Amino acid sequence: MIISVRSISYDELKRNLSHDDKIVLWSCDTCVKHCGIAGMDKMIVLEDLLREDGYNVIKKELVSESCQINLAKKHRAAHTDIFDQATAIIVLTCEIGYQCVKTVFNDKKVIETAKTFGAGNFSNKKGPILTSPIPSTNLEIDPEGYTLNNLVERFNLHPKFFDADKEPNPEKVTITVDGKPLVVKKNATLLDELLANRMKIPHLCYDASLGAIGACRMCLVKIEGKRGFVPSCSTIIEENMVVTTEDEELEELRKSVLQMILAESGPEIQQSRDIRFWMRRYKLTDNKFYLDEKDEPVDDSSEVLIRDPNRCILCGKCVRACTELSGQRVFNFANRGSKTLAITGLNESFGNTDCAHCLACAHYCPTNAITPKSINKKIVGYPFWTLISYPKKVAPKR
Amino acid sequence: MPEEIVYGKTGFRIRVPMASCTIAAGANEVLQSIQACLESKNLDVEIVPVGCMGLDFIDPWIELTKKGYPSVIYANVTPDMIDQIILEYLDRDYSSAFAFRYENDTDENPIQKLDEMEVWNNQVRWLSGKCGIINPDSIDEYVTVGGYQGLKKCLKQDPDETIEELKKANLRGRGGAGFPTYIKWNICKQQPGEVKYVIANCDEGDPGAFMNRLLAESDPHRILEGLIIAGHTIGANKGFVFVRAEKPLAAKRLLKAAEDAREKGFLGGNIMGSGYCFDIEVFLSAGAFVCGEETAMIAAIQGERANPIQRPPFPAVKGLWDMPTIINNVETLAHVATIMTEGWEKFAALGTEKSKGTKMYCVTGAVQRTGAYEVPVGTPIKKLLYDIAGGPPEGKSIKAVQLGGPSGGCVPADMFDLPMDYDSLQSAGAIMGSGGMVVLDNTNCMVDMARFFLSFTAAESCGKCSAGRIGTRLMYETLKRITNGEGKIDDIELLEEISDVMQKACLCALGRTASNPVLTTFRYFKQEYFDHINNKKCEALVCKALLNYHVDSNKCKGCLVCAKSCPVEAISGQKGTTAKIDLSKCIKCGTCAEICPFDAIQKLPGRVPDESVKVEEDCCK
Repeated sequence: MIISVRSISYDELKRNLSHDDKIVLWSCDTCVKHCGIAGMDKMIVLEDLLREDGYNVIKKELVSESCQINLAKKHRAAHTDIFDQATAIIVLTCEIGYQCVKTVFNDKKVIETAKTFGAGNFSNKKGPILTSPIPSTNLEIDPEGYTLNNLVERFNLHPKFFDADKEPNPEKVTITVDGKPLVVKKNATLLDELLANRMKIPHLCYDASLGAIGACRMCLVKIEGKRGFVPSCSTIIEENMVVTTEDEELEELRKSVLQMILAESGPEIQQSRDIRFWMRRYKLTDNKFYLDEKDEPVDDSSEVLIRDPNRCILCGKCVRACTELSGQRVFNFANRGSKTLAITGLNESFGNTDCAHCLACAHYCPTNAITPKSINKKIVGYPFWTLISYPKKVAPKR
Repeated sequence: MPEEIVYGKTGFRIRVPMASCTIAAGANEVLQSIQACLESKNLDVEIVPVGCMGLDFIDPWIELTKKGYPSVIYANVTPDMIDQIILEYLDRDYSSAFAFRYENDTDENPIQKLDEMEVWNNQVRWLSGKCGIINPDSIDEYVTVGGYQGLKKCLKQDPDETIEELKKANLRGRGGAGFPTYIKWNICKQQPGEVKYVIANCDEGDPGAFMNRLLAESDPHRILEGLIIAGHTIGANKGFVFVRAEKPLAAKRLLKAAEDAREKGFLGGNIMGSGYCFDIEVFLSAGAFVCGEETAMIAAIQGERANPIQRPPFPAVKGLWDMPTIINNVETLAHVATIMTEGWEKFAALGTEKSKGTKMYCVTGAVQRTGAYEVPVGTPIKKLLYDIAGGPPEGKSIKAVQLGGPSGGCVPADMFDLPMDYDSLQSAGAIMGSGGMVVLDNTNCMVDMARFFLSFTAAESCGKCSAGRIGTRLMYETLKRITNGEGKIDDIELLEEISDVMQKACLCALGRTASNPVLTTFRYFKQEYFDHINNKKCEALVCKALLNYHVDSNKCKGCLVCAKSCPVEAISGQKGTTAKIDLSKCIKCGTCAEICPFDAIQKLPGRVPDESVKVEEDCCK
C-alpha cells in the first residue's frame, strides 16, 4: 500500500476556503483510508467541522481507487450537475490521487491534504509501515520501516485527521435505546449511531460508505409509534425516539432470517466473519429451513479477482461499490424473484468485463464471494484480509 | 344518452367491441365480416369500434342501432352469422338477439331488455357506464357524454376545494390497500417545492384481474381526466401513466387519448384557458408484477431495476426523482373524474358507512357468466357470484373464491354473506386488492392453488430482500413437496413459521402479503392439507402425484384408442379385452381419459405405490 500523512492543518485548510465556496469532499477508499486520513467516516467528520464553521459542503464523493484517472473521470461524468456547481474540491487522497483529481477538475480549486512517502504494508501492531520510501524523501531504506508517527515527527507534519486539531461538535439529540437514554447525532442513521455506541446489531447489506438499501433484513429493530419492525439502517434518528434493539421476538426473527440466508447459500459462507459471529451469538447449530444447495461454477477468469457465486447472499454491496465507488458498473443484478443473481458485465465472465481492478467489491463483500487472487497460486481463493490484514472496520468516530 | 352517440351521423350504427378480450374471442373477424356484408348490400352504416362492457360471457357481441328501430345486442357472434343478423334486424325480427339496450326499446318482443337482466340490473355502473357505448378512440364522443366537465370545474376552483370534495366523497384508493385518496393528495400538496409528479398505476398483473385494462381500453379519457385533476390539485406539471407492457392495446388507446387531448387543449400548456400546464407520458412497464408496488414503479420510471425501497419516506413526500409524487390506481382516478363531473353526493350515496362508492370486480373461474362487474362497495359476495355471475356451471358447486390475487386470500362458500368492503375482507384474511375474483369449485385443489400463487410470487417478486426472496421460495418448495405427496406433518408448522417471518421482516407489501393464500387455505381448508400429507390423497383430483388412472372393465370395449394416444406407451391390451394401464410408466397426462369414447378411464384419488411422478417445475404456465 501507499503510505501518506496529512500535510496541512485544519486552519491551513480553512485559509484556502472562502464561505462562498461550494465544497465537494473527495476521498479515496483504499491505501490512504488505512493511513487514517480518508474514507467515508473521515469525510463525515470533516463535513461536520466545516459545517460548524459555516462552510457549504454540497457533496461527499467516495472513490474506490482515486489514483485511477479513468475512475475519477467517470465519477465526474456520473454527477455532472453537482460537480459543475462546485467551486472547491478537498481531496483526501495520496499525491497520485491528487494529481488525477487536479487533471479531471482543471477548472476548479483542488486542495491537497496529504504528503505521500512511498510504498509499505500494514501491520496489526504498528499500523501502516513505510518500507520503500521514494527518493525525493531522502529517507534511507530501513528494514524495520517507518511508522506514521516517525514520519510525522521527522517531517513536522500533522498526526491523525483534522479532528485532532479541533473536535467536531455536531448537534446531538437524546433517544431511548432498550430503556436507557443515549445521546446521538441528529439526523444520522440509527444503525450507525447504535454501532458507534458499541451495540451489536447484525447487518449484512449495510455499510456507511455505501448507504442503505434494507435488503438483508437482519438489522430490524422496534420503534415506538412505527408499525411492525423497522430496519435500523434505513431509519433516520428523530428526537425522543424509543428503540428496542433486543428482545425475544427480535432475536427469533433475526435468527429465522439468518437461517433463511444460510439455507439459500452454500455452506462455505459460514466461514465468513460476520455470519460466523452471528451464528455463534445465536447458538445456531442446525437450520430449520432447507433448500437445494447452489452449485454454480466458480469464475476465475479475471486476472485479479476470483468470484464464487455459491457464497453470494445477494446483499448488493458489490453492485453498489462498483457503481458508486468505482463508477464502473461491472456488477449488477439479473433476473428476479428467487432466480435473482448478481452478475458481472452482461452476464459474462469476470475477465471479459472492463473491471478496473480497484477491489472495492472484494473489500465490501461480507461472505468472501469475491476475493483477490494472490500472487501465490497455492492460496487462491483464501479470504484475503487474512493476507493483507486490513484494519478491523471501526464505526466512524463522532 | 345523446342521440348523436346512439345513432351516429348516418342514423345507423353497428357497435363492435374492440378490446383485448373481445378481439381474442374473434371480434376482428366479425368486424371484417360486417364490412364485407355492408359493402355487398351497399348500406350506409357507421361501424363503431367500442370498448368492452364487461359481459365477457357474450364475447364477441355486436350492437345494432338504427333510427326508428330498437337498439339490439347480439351475443357470441361469429362471422358467418352477420348476414342473417343484419337481415333479421332490418326485418324487425329480434328472436335471435341477446337483449335490448334501452328501456324505451319496443316491449312486444320475446327477448329481454338489458336493464331487466340479473347480470345488468344488479350492477351500479357508475364508472363503467360508458364502456362499450362510446368509441374509446374518439375524444368528441367522450366530451359529448359529459367528459372533461369535471376538469373544467376543478380548474376554476381552488385545489383545496377539490380535496374537500374528495374528503366528503370519502373515496378510498381502489388499488388494494384502500388508503383515503384525499389524505394522500393533501400530504403531497403540502410538500414544499415546485416540481411534483403524478402517476397513474395501470400495471395490473394479478391473475384473474382485468378491470384496469378494461377501463383503459374502453374509456381512456376518463383516466386522463382524473390524472389531470390530480396534477392540478397537488400542483404537478407532469404525469405518467404506467401501463403494463403486456397490455399493448391499453397503452395504444391511452397514447391516442393523450394526443387527442393535447390537440383539443385538455393537455399541454394553458389547459382550457386556465393558465395551468400539464402533460403526460405513457410509460410501458418493465413487465414484472412487483412494478405495481409504488416505490418499484418509481424506480422503473427512473430507468433503474424495479426494486422497492424502504418506506418511509413515502412517495408523497419523496418519490420520483426525489420529488413529491402521488401514485393512484387508474380506477381511483376514473372515480375522481366521475365524482367531479357528477358530484360527490351521488358517489357518497353508494356503498357503506366507511367505504363509499362502487368497485369493479372481475369474476373468473367456475361461474356461468364471467366478466367485469361494477357493484357498490359492501355488496355481499353471494350477490355478485350468484345473482350477477349466475352461480356455478351445472353439476358443480362453488367451494371458495380467491380475492385480491396473490396478495389476497380465499373466502369459503359458507362465508359468502360477507360484504365486500376493505375491513370485512381484511378480517376474513383476504383483501379487496385490485378486485380480481377467481371462483373455485370442487374440481379445484386448495393446496395446489396455494402452490400456484406462491410459484407466482416466488417468480414475480423482486429478489431484493432476503425474507421475501428466500421466504417465497421456501414456501413454494414446501407446497410443491406436499402436492407431490412427499409432505410431512411438520410442513404445516414450517409454513406457518415462514409466513410469520415474512409478514414481519419483508421489505414491501408484496412479501408481507405473499403468504395470505397459504394462511387462508390453512384457516378454511386445513383438512385438504391433512389429506395430502397423511392420506396422500387429493380429493379434487388435481395433484398429479396423488391420483391414478383406472380402466373400468364394465365400460371398456377394448378399442385400444387409448393405447394409441398414450405418449409414453403405458397402456397395453388386446383388441376386445380391457386395456391395462402400467402405472409405473404413466405420466398422468390424462390424454387417455379425454380420448376414450366410452368414458371408461377414470381418475381416482390416492397414490400409487412406488410413485415417481413429479409435477413439472414450471412456475406459471
